[in-house]
Amino acid sequence: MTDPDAAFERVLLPVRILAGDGLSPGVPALVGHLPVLLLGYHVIPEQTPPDQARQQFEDRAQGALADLAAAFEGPVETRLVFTHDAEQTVDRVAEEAGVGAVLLPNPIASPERLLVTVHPDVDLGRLASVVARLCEGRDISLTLFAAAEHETDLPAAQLDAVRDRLVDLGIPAGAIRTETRTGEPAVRAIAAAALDHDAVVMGERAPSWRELVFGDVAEQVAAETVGPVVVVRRRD
Amino acid sequence: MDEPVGPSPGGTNVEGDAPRTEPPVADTDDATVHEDGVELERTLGLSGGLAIGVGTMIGAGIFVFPGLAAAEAGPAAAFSFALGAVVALLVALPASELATAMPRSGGGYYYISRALGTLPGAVVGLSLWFGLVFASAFYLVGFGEYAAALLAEAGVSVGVDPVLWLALVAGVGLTVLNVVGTENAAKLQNGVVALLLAILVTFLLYGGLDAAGLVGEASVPEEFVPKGWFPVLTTAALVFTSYLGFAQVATVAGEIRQPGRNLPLAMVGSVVAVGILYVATILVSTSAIPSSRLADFGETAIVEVARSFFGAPGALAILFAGLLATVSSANASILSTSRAVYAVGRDALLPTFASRINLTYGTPHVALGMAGGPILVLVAVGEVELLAEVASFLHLLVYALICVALLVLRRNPPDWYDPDFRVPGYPVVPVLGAIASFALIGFMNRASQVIGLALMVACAGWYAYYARDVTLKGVL
Repeated sequence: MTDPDAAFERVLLPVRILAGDGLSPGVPALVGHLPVLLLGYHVIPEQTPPDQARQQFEDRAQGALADLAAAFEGPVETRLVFTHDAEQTVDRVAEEAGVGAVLLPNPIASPERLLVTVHPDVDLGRLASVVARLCEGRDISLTLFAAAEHETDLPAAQLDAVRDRLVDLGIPAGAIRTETRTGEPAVRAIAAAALDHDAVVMGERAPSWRELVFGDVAEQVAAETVGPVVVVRRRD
Repeated sequence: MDEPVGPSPGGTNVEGDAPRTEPPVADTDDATVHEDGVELERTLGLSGGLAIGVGTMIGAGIFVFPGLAAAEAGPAAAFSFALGAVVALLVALPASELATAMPRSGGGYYYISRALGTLPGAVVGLSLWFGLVFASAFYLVGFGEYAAALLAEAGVSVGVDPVLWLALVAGVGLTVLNVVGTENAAKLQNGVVALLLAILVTFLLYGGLDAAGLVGEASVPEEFVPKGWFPVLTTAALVFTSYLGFAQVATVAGEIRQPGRNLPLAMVGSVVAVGILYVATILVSTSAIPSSRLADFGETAIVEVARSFFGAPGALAILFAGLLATVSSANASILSTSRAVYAVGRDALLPTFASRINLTYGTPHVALGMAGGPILVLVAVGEVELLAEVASFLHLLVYALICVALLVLRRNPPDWYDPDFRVPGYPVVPVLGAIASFALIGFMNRASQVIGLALMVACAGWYAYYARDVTLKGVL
């Protein structure tokens, strides 16, 4: 069955090149079979014009980037950006390259269990599509997860919808289970659930005042969990 | 806007280094793209550009000069400031055109070396560095004055002359802070500028009402031009330091988003904004306190004006604002010195080690140190007016040459010359700009002119020794 959301499947992998951040071996295992855009960026202070950093560090950074790219089997495109503002860079490159998901890298050994969080505000169609592509042809078990204050606020209909969609896209029904938690703040609930999993897949929330004040939910989750977080971008 | 690749610069300097400018593949509104998929992010918006321009300028014009200017020319010093604004605009417009044609970090030095060749470029690039060093020392002394006034206000008395020591401590502190690299320095700068503007506008609004006789006590108006018109011109030359910030915007042209639109807006906008503020400040100050008494208060005269309006809280508010303004101007100037070193070093006019950045903090520690030493020495000299005039002299030289560079490039444009903004009133505006800049230099003190000239000759000498074979004219 053709998947209308399959258009944007590239995964953006932002890495702080030159900061000694490598990529743990599980990351290529997780997304290596998809087209990957490896974005190496280096944040420089305002005292330094980006061109000066480029002149001094370009060769070293390109070398490090090439080493990282070599760990992937599939096609890897690389870009190197010197910037004062990492967030602007990641957003801009994601926009320009039309990527479907951004991976916030954390250590991972091998991807066997994924936690997929479901929330009414996210682009569920694309979320399902990306999850299906991640699991394609591999033996990965999925947990569909939702958290809310009260039982009645749980997005039961959305959970079922995502589950059905995943089955349609070819995931064996037996590999999918559902879990919910109530009474806890969302980030903490997700982090607790993620303890038993290797990576988290989340949808990008619509911009809201909560995000402005408290920061990106996905980034908060990445800070709380051990494993990588794949953020599925909204379609505009 | 794709830029065609121009011819590469040629020649090598005495150590065998060649200029390292590989022209980028493309300049977009948000990033500069180089070969091999390397990009340089543009992160400054219009507000950032305006904050740089206004933030650099506002330290001197309002917080240091009113007392000194009133001493020289009475209330007619308002004309001096207005004249300075006109000259600054005559230069800001050509500079904006050049900046949109070549949105690279480096500012005036870049345009002049590409339009007029290596010798003028070397003289300008290095003179600009000296000019920034003198300007930084000037702002630091101003900071010392304000900090000393704050101590006096608080009733604390130190055994030694506090101005010198406070200025030196501030100088060391700022240099160290910049080497260590501060997070969110730009946001802090924007916040400081916004706060300053808020304080100033309140102060000026009230002062304006007072001057118009609507609030406060009546006062006898004094003669507007008590010392004649010639001092108005010499004062214009003195206070031109107040306008040295707009060109700073061009030095970060490589990092501004939508450069074609934001560069001209930021440069012209900051000159107009501060020009209005300066003229208003002089008028308000001299209507509140007669200029002869204002002169006695020296650099911190504006504090007394605030005291006459609002009492002690007003004086404190202005003292605080003065500290903020002088520190932010000093900081901006110190930062610019390292960018100036980088711009010149990139073209092989300085040894490579001068532009090194360290990986720990990512800052250009060598360039910052190179500026720090001379700045502290000049602060110890402490002659505020001399520092200001030499700084202005060197900057005015650059401004005059910017206008000449525009004329040269427009007469015979290279293929890559395609500015998004074109100077209105060409060729009158750049010609007037060049004449006015040279003329202002003529009105300065003999001592400042001699020192400035000596520094220029020293720069030419360095070029002759180090980089005589480097060619930069007409290349990107």
